Amino acid sequence: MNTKMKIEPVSKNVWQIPQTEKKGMNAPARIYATPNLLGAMDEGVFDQVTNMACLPGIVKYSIACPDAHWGYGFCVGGVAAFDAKDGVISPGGIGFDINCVAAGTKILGAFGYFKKIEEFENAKNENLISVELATNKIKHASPILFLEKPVSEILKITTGCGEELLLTQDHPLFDGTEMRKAAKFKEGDKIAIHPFDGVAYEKASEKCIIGEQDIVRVVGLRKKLLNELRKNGLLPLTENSEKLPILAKLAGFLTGDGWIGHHYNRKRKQDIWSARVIGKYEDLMDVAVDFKKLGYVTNYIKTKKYESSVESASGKKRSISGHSTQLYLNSQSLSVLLHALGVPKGNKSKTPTKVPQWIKESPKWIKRLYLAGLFGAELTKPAQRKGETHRFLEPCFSQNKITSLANENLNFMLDIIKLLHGFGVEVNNIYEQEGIINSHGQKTKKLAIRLSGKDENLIKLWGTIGFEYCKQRKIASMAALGYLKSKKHHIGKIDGFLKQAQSLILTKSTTKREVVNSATELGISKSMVSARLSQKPMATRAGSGFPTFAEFCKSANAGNSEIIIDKIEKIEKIPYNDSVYDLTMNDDDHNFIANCIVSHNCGMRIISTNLGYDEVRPKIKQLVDNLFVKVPAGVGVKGTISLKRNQVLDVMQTGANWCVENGYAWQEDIEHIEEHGKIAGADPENVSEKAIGRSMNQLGTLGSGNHYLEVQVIRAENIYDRKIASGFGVHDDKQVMIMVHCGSRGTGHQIATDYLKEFGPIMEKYKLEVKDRELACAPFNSEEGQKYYSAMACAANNAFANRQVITHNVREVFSQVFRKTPEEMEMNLIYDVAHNIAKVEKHIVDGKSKKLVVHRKGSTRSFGPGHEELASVFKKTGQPVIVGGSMETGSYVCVGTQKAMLETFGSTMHGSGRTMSRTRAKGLVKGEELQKEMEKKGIYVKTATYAGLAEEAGIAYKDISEVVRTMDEIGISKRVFSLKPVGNVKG
Amino acid sequence: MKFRFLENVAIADIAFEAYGKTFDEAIENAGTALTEVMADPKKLASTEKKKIAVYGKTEQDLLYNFLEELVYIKDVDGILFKKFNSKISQGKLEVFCKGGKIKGAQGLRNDVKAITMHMFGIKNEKGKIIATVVVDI
Repeated sequence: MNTKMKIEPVSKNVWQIPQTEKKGMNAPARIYATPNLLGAMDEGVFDQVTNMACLPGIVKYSIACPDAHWGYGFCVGGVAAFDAKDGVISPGGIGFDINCVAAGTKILGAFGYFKKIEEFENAKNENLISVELATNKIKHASPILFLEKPVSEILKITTGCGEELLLTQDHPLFDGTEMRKAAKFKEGDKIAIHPFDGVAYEKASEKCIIGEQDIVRVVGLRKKLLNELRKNGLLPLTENSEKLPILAKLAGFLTGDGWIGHHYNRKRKQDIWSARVIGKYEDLMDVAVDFKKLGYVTNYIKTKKYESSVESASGKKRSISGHSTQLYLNSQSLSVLLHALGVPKGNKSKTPTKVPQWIKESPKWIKRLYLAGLFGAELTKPAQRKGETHRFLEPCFSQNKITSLANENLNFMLDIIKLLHGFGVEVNNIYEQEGIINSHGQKTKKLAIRLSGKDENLIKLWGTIGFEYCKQRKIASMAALGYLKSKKHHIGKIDGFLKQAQSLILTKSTTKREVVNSATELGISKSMVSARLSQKPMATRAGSGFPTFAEFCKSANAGNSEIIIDKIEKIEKIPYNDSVYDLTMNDDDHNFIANCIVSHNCGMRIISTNLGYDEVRPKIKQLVDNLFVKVPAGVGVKGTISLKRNQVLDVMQTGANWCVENGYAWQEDIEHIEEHGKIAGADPENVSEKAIGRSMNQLGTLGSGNHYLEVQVIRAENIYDRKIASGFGVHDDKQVMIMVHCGSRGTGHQIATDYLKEFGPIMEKYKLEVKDRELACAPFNSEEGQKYYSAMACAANNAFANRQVITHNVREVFSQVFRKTPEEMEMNLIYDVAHNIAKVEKHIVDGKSKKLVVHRKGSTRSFGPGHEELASVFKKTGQPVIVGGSMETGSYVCVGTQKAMLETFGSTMHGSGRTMSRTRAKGLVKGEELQKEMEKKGIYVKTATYAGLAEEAGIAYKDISEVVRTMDEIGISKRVFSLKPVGNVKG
Repeated sequence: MKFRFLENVAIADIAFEAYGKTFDEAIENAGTALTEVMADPKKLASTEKKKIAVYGKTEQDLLYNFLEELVYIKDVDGILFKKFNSKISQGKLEVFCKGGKIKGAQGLRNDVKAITMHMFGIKNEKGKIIATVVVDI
């Protein structure tokens, strides 16, 4: 053994160095290896794995995988996880600007409820309202990362509409054109707001809303229909079902503008159900999206010309014509379910409409969805009477029913009023009118509710209920709401002025005359001030100087989207002694709505082919030679594409997605890349110009060292798990695959270098001590730690894009050589894994789920079946783990396991691991001779340098089969298949 | 001896010691050793000239920043240097470098991605200046 440290066995092939072995260890160190591999590990591994265990905040133990060897800082093949709250982040353990809002800040969800930001710690994947920054349109996005840190000072921003937000100086806000840090805003600057307040979230119960019997009662026992509902997770339907909010919205909208019906089919001897929804095309597209979320496909949306006549009760006929757009849903099960949920069927003027009992008993936010859906169809939109420029008309909601249903109709209206009262929305009156004659020639009566048009009432109506599905009403109501809020805020300021004036008059510090004069200067009505100072009852008015609604819309760009461009009225620094929070969103625009203000927020891959080795063998030299040209390798080479500075920034933020947009990737590649090819939280602002410069010419290059591109072959006898192998795309004996090993090139290393230098001096500030300068670190939750994380994410995204561009070039070369398209050769990406990275993940520690910063240096993620972060294609099997061997011996593809989740923070080996230094290998092996030897073995190698080739000789590495078998037997990652090289491009 | 590669220090990377009677000389030799990792200096042209100026509080900082700049120039400008002439004055190191373009050069070896802090240092041992460097391959 190359160490004097005490190593104790834990179980077969699992070893532990106790915490007492080195001063400063905060946890024991674990090594996964056979006795043979353990004996062959260099001294550096033991020293470094115990150094890793000395880092502050380390959780459970530091880990060395069977491929471990000396690295700088962390050993290669090393894993360590740190508590996201108290732990550190270290560039030596691999590679975000924390900008936050205060506790209590309300974050608006897609279903119209808000939660306080601190409640999002356990609410990842929740759909939030977000803004598409290029168009100011509303969209939905989910938080993927929750951050918390204590601060002692904070900014308070107040806007013209009276919205307030407490946030850190570096938290970005949207001004309607771009995101800027809060500290860069000044009073009077524009700021984007989404004035909708929403309602507080309440947890829904497990109560069953619709059971099998409820469906049977509607259509009888129809097994296929029941099974379809079950399959889509709609039966039984409970209040806390994630699909219920969508159904509540749809039930409201279809009650207004929908039709559900059925006809008897003699052949099938049963009723055939269907549904239609009437509306504008763009609104119906939103309905179709919601049907899809429920598991159903809309049959079509059709616009038809119509001409019909309507007869009023007085016998007056009116012909109406125009275009009507309808959505057709032929799904029987969903139509039946919507009816069971309370949507009336058939001709609505002949059928009673009721507020469903389940809505009456549901949490307020679900009630809101029903009402907003109904109002999206039936409530009049905000409008002003001619000449009334500062106020709005009373909104009206009406229903026509045949005379015999007048009582039922009244009960429905009373139920709606009761629901409105729950939101504090007042109704002025209910009135009745003679309705039209329906299509069956029956007389109808129109019953209407007129809501109060007072400003306060409309703020509650449009600010807490609003509209769903109808974009026109939504946008109009947000403009009106913004206006009313700014008016209310203005009146509030006048009230404040009057109150202060009254107390100053009482203390004789000023006179009535002086107050009236200064009120006039401020644009406040003289008569109102005089009346109020004389104790005459008079409501505070905004005054004639206050802008009209039309003027407001012009200055606030209101009426074009739900976003209003407000102005910052006041920015003040206030002391604050609590935590602040931020959410990182899974979306390119990185924003969410906080208190109504729009605010911010080296691996391997394997590609399959359907080519057999017999087809490839005769062309292997041509293939490898062409690959060598198209995938540049070696010192200082430039890639096939060079990027401008802004393109580099795009790549850093969007990773492999940049490649999709620019034609270097197939859309389906993305699902086969760890983290979908993009680590969230990447912020190029925290990346140096040097790192950006090194990225401009390096995209699509292989690098050197142990980086390679290999053409490999699978033999039937080397498939260990046929079922999983088949799922990964392995179908034939002698099938040809391509493996790529490379990273982010110079960029990633520049970033690590930059931050190692920055972390060195700040460690004293945070009272951190490390055993090795390469382990320089910063608390993860510190400004420096977060900056580094965001820069590291840029490097990781760069690496995903680099391997993707290489894949594109590999596909092109194969296409030229074999004269087939890449699609014909089924050149699908099996998987892409990063193996030098730090990631924020959730793991179970001492029985509790904890958020950890997992550092993997030369270690591959090995998430097991069912893990929420895996793409759906790998949910059943676990993720592919690509283990690259030496160029002489071959490589493995394994699969992640549950045991890895429990023992190694979901991590395993990344390769075979070196046993010999480069300098020594070069002394023992001559590059040119090795190339000839390999060619004799059937491996054609093209290298940028013979010295580099010699350094990568098989003898410099451990036995990959033993390394992989070790983790297979312990159960950390299971072997699926192995591959043998036949062609190699060596960097 | 101007420099020496250390055989069993860095398994996956490359380590060297550069020597000099003065700090300037050790810096120049460290530059040559770094180039030697990436290429055969004899096969590099001498057509490119550049003056590199770096700043640092300590001699160690100056050496690190200088070597890091060489790695940066290699990636961005595509130049490797084989001759160095350095001048040190309070917190500033100026090095006049001469070398050739990588494109089309023969005798290329390993691409250095970064200078690491592992074992990194410069010391005076009985009048002999020794710089120890591990580079990331």
